[in-house]
Amino acid sequence: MSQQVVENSNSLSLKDSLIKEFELTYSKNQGNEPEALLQKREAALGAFQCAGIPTIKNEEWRFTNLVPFLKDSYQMQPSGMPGSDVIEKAIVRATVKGLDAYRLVLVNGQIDFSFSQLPDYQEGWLIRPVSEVKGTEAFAAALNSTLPIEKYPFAAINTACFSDGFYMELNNDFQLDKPLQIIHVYSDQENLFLQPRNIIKVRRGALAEVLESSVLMSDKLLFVNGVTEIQVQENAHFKHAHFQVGEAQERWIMHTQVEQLRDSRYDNYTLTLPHADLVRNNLNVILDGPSTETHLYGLYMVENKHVVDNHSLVDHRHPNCMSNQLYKGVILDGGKGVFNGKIYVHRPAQKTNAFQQNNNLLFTPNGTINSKPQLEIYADDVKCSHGSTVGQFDEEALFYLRSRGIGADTAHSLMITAFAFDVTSKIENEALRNHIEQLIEKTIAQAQAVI
Amino acid sequence: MANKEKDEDILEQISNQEYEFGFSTDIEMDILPAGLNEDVIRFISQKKNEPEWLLEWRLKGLHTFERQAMPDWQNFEMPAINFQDISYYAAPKNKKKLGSMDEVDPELLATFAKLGIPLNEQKILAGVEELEGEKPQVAVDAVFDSVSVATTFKAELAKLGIIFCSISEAVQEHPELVRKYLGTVVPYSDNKFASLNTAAFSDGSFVYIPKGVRCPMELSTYFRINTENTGQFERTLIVADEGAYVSYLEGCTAPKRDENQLHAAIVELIAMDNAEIKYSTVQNWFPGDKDGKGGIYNFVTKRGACRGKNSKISWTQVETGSAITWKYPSVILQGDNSVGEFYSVAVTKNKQIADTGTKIYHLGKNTRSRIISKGISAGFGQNSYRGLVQVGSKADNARNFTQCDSLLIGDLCGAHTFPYIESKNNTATIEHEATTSKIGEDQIFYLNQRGIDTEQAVALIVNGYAREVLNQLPMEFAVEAQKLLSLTLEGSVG
Repeated sequence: MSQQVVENSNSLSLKDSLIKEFELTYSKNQGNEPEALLQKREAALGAFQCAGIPTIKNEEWRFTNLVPFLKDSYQMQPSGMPGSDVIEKAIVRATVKGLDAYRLVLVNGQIDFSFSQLPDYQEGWLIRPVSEVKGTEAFAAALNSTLPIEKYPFAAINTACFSDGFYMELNNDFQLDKPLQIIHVYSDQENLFLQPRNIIKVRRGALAEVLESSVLMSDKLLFVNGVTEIQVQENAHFKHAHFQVGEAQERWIMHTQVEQLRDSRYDNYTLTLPHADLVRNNLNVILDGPSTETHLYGLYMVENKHVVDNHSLVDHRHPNCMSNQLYKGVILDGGKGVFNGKIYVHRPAQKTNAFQQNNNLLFTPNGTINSKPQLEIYADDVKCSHGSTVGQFDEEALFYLRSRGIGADTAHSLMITAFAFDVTSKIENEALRNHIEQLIEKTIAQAQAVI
Repeated sequence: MANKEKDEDILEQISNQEYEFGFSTDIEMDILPAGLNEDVIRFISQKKNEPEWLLEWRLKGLHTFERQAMPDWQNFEMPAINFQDISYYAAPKNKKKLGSMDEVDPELLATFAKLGIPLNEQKILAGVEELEGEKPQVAVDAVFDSVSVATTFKAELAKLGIIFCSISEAVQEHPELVRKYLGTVVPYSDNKFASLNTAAFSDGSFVYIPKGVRCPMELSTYFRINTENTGQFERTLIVADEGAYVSYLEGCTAPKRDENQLHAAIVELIAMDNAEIKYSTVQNWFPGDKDGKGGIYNFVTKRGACRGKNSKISWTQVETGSAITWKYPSVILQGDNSVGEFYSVAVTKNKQIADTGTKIYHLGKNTRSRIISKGISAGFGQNSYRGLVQVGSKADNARNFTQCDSLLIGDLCGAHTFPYIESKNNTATIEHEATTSKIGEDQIFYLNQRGIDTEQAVALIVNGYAREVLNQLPMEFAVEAQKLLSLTLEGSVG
């Protein structure tokens, strides 16, 4: 009983400081923002106050207990900007070997054009800070258009408080000739709680590939509560990869809300490797038009009491849509992995093909895996399936390798690489694929050194 | 498309199909006025001449029930149930011993006949003494509203040391056994409906199979709700001691009524070392009419504990009735090498709702479980599979295989899957797979080509689809279940 009281007081303190932050920014925003946006912010705060910080009694947070992550106190705004040498170092750390790409750098959630490398041509695309575009009525109207904030308290408080992020727009039929790497650099002398809001609009027939990664350049705590809204319009194709490789003092709650219109395609790769303390990904894909195609690939490797929690929703609202989801998890020493994938097929969504698979490998005896694949189907002419497995190394395969003179460590490493191959092989960009494969090998080697 | 018209005709026909067991029997009953409070519980307890500890336990259940909130996690709108509108005790008045069949209350006999109980067994159930001649096959305990009216073949079973009687008799005659096991698998505070049952259970069956005995016949219970505005709260407790085996069947019917009636039962199974319990259910409560009016609310807590090494518990269920089915027969695999199984066919049509599945807890080493669930939705029916497979950190080499398939007939129904998989042990192997689809047009076409009309083709396909589960039923029930399935879904065309 006493523990519960402590829990409450802790979550209250973070809740209170978030509400205080809202009050501070709200007065600043008054006058700068249209009434419609201010109203949305107020409503969002109401939703957050009503829901509070979710506990394990909330079905969506059943497996992830936030209490240990809420004990620390955070600053809600960065105290200053890091020096250019720090940013340069961060960029070097984030660079993917052999990847020919444009670069967009955000420092503590704000675009820094001086370190970015963007295409010379001006036509066809637009990248602006959110702080610059949020003054328009159109921005306010489009905000959270498919995101029911009352169900997502963290997205709600983000809506109430966000001040910056990036806004990207690709015009009709524009094709980005190279991938764009977005590097989020975080650095501060104090514990930092940041709430960036990013918006990507891929207009009719456009094509783009975006890779997001982040680097923390300080030894203080970092808690990011980010929301990214993406709209993929008719016939457009958007490839979206997210590398989540961090430090033990990083905590992430990332909400990605995708809306797909008719005949569009969205590919998502979420690759989570150690060492971030807490990673929670909410990936919601709303299929708002017929004949769309969606591919969601995920790989998560969790170690050392860390938590990686992947929640996804594929919302089939129209006929003839196809979605395919494959998430693979390797639970290393003492880690906890959570997968909750929901496929919802509405009554009009006939001829839906929806597939979902989640495979997990428990590497050591003390890991935990919670998997909840979920189908809700209200249409009859559909093909839907899901599969979920939890297992360990196949002893026979291991014996096969050992009997051919391959050491135990190498054999394990080989088998994990092969396990992850189903996901990594789906990455089309060769440089990216090599990069992630190397990271996986490094992670296995480190995990084995610990054992 | 003339064919389409025919389809619609057939669909109409099914939705208008009458509930076969929708009769009610006018027998003089002892009924307690509606309402639930301490006095009612004391009355029931007193009426049954129960010992003090049982009354105290009932009251604990009542107080917990009053505190608990209604469950809110299920995938349907929980109906508002006014627990004070229900009568918690109803029993047939006529209980004196009879000399021959002629003296039996004809209404009661007619009820048994309609339920399809063989004549010999009818005699015993109606309280006619002695039975000679034919070799017994199934021993029956009939529970009429809240009270067990009669149990057959008791003497024969007693020769082997098997106890098969109503739970109120067991409380009188074997209090030490009842006290030792009752409520040890489903605690009185388990959930709101379990607490209600603990407080108000009026009867049910009790089975005890002694060490090393293999029960020579199927044991069976018929449940029937008859009186208006009563709830049925029976409690079944089955204990299989070391090396014992028993197969137990349960069948349920209720008359047609406009109001919803509540059925909140508890079944507890306990298997010791090397014991095996097989529990089969064919649930055919009144499902409500085609507009969703009336029908039974079936909120049942069923749980088995494999306490001993190498023990096995197997649940098989065919769910075709009830307006709402809410039940999750579970197995706790405590003993090393123990095995849990769950086989289920659930059919929903009209406005029926089924939220059913299983929970398997792997606690012992080398425990294995297998879950096969087949859902069929037609009309406006909603069918959810909800399952939990949990592997504890000490359950080395646990193994689970889960398959749940859903079949959709018509575009207004729904099929949902909510599996929870939680593993804390790296030597566990857990597999889960689920599919949802409709009956393939090519399959229907194939059968049509061979001169089988669409109606029969669908019955054939559905029976084939459910075969894996129906095969688990004891023979007498398998035939009945197959008939029931064909009847329920007659002519549905995907």
